[in-house]
Amino acid sequence: MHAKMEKHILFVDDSPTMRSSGSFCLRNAGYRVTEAVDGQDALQKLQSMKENDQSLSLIITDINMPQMDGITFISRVKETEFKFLPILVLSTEGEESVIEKGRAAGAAGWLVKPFQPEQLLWAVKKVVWPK
Amino acid sequence: MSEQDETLEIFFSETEDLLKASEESLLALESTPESASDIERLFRSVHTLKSGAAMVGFMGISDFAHLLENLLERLRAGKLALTNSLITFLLGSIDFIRSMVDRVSQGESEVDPEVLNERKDQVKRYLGIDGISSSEEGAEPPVKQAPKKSAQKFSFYKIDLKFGKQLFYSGQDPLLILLGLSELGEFVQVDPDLSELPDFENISMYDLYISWQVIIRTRRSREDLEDVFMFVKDDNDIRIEDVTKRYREGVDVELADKKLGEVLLEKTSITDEELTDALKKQKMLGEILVEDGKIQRKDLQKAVALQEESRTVYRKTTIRVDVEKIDNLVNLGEEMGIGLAKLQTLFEKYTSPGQMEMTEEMENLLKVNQEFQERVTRVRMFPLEGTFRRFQRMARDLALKQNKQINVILTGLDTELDKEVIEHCTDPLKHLVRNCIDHGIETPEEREAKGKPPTGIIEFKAYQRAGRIFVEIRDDGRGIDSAAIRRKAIERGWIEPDQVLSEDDLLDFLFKPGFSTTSEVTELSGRGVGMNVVKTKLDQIGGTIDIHTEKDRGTTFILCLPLISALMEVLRVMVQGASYLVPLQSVVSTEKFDNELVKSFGARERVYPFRGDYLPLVDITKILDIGMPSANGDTSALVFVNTDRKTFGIAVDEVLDPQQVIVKTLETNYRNVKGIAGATILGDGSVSLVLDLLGLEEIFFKHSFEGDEDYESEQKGKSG
Repeated sequence: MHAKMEKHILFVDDSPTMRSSGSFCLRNAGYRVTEAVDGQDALQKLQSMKENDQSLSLIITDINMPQMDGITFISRVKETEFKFLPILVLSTEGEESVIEKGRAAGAAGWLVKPFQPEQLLWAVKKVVWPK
Repeated sequence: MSEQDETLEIFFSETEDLLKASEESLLALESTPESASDIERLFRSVHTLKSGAAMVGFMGISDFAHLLENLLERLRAGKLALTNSLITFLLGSIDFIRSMVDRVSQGESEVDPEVLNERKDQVKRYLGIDGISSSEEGAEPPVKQAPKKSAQKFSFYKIDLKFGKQLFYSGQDPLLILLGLSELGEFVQVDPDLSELPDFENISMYDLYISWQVIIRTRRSREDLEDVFMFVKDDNDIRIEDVTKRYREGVDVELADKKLGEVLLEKTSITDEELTDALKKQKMLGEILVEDGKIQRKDLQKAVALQEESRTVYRKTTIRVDVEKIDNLVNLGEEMGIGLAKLQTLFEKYTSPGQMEMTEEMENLLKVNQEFQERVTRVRMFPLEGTFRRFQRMARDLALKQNKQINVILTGLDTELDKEVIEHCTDPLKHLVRNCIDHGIETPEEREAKGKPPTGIIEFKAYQRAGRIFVEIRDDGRGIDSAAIRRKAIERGWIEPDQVLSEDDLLDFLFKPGFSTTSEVTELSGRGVGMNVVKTKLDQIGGTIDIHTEKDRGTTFILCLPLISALMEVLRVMVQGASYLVPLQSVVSTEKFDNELVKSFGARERVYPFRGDYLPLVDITKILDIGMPSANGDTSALVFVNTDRKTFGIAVDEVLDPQQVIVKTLETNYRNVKGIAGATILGDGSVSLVLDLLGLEEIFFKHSFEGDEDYESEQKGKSG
């Protein structure tokens, strides 16, 4: 446990622009962010967090990604001890079916790209306890 | 370099990579147009580029990429063939995106809007008309509105949160949701429902067993509340109900009518069984009386048995049926009756062997049919309870608003009334209740000054008497000032200043149209506003209204309503060869006519002795302007009727049997005719008019009611 009780978020997206703007906004709001480029990378990050006894409060993940897509990634997370962790899926406009698939896989909520910083924080606040 | 600039740098380098990847894919596709992986890679590149551009705010690039993505989507789905010319076009489009990116990287604007539109049109041409759905076209990114901090009034919402057992598996936390809700307002009440909680050994720590009911006081809108449940509303049972009315003043007014046990069940952790146990311990009234030797045990048992029996009868199952279906049955029954009656006359006309038996069977059938009609009509009857309860609530709310204290008493809740009658008298009743609260009941201070208890009483009472339903609304307020009515009537020029009038006659002015206007409300305690409307409404269904009032003791409105709007007991009479029906309940007596006993006043007025009094005689042919005046020629009998206000005699040629008929109003098919309540088809197939005695009385006595201007002008026209 971190003494500061800093909330830690794993941000998964294959687009560097998306990762960069997402983390920027979250860090600005006082969250600690770890980035991953796809599902496989994210699973590895989770494994190392577990080994280093790091806490994690939320996963935000894109769906359409190479290597391992978001839906597969969510189902894999649900097989680990992180299964009760809230997950927000990032969907693109006009992809409502992605939201449905995400929810079916066990996501807690969703966010539609492109988003304003306050929209991202609004969604995070819905599923992460305040500091 | 700031982190924001860094994001931009990342975007430019990513976009360059994506544009390169797109070109590579397109070139590869030129040689192998079927390569799914290349199409996929191309699609993904454009898709990612679109999102990234939107994130950093380059909407022109994003829009164009979005359109391109739609085109590629069709390609990917095999709906579009990849021709060389399409590849050329796509390569050109990639170049166009690159040119836009180059411009913004140098701090210029993305593109000339006209050029962009031209380019977009080209893509649309490839997409075809069906390729563009309105939602895709020019779709603005939905910007979440920050919840408005409006100066709205406080509302109370009841929110039922029934989460699924599996809530935790989706990473949700019910307490976090409650926390989010608490930020929108103030919790008046939070009741967790623990009834689903299993025994300790059966609890799974990952399942959710608790549901909540929250009452929140907030200035926010319902949408703001719904927003809190955005992520959980689809998989869980979340209900939001506006209960502002119920929580007026922040107090749950519904508790007043509940039994203590129900309140305890809701508010505390006692279970149903515990409550039942406790109630069992309570001594029954009967037991106490037996123990005290006040009654015999066998009497108690008898009474209990009687009550049980009555309750079993009372507890019937009910179903909801469309009224129209019942009305159809009523009409069918009626037609059957007419057919049977016709048959009966035919039997009598043509003698045949076995006629006796047939007639007997016929009469039997007629009886059955009449009972059938009566029963079907009964189906339309409802207890007044629902209506009364509604008014109770209304009275309470109105009083609270005006800082008045009232106690509402309801009596005769199970009195039944025809659905149509109930509907017709709801508005008049509402009006009267409002009057009682607004003008009848005084403020607590005023009441105390008069030596009355501070809490006023409003009583709703319903009962059946002599085939009519009576509904009374009584208040113990300040009463109606008849002197003020008198002043008003003089002012209006309706009466002479020195004219002597009874209290009742004065009260009648209240029903006169134009008696009072809103600005004059307070002077006369407001009674009179719209009272003529109340009366008109009641007239339509054959109801009447009476007022009793006493200064500082209160006012009682008595509504007299027909039991059933359609079914009526009538006395059939013949006048000038036509048959008329007189409502039987108003008939006092029928007398043989003796021309010698008639006394005449002037040209039109005639009176006849009846029970020690001289009563006016009404000639309906004259009043309704039909046929020739009988001039006592064929008059053989008089029907004396009482309208509650006047008693008078109707001259008729013949009195036939009383019967029960279903009255149809003329209004539906023709128009309302004063003096005629409606028409009906008799058993022999002939049509007969039902007399409206109140209407007749008004015409005849030129009663000061609405409509008599019409009558007077008609009369003038006739005499002229």
